Amino acid sequence: MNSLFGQKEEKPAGPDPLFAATTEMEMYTHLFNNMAAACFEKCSSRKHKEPDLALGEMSCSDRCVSKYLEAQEKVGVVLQKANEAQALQQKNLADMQNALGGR
Amino acid sequence: MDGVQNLPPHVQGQFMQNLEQMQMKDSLTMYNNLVERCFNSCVSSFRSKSLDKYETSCVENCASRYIKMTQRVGLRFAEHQAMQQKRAADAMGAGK
Repeated sequence: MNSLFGQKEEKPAGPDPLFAATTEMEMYTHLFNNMAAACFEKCSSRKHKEPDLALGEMSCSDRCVSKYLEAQEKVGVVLQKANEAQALQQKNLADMQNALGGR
Repeated sequence: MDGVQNLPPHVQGQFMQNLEQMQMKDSLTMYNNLVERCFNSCVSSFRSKSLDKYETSCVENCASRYIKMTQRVGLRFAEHQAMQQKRAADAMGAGK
């Protein structure tokens, strides 16, 4: 899942590899469905007069995919930093409690 | 897709089965979402019980365009994944 949280490598060490693979597949499915829905909403006109996509709509959807995936990476980085900050905070809290309990 | 590519062989059969089930569920979900989307886009009056010809062509066009856009998005997504894998492979090769 190296594209999940800002290109960082994650090894499925502990959990069952089948579960990891299935979850990863589900994640990519959701990503694809959400991306297709968002790009359709943003790029295609509501009139639906033609059964084919116009040229502008096609280039719009190409750019939409690119931007969506970039946004996903950036959100992943933000989430990872938040997780690290929270882990650090919990560690500090645990240390403090140990120090207090040691008296 | 590291988890998928590095799957040990003895669970690959089970994984393919899971994948098939997921794909089946996903296509049904997509169908329902598509109907809702096109209905919301195209149908706004309820003077009659059946769709008039404008609503019919709108719904058909909407579905056709959504499918075409989904195919295009899938193509670009696959390109993006391939490029990323190539970059990762190059980075690993350079590191050795």
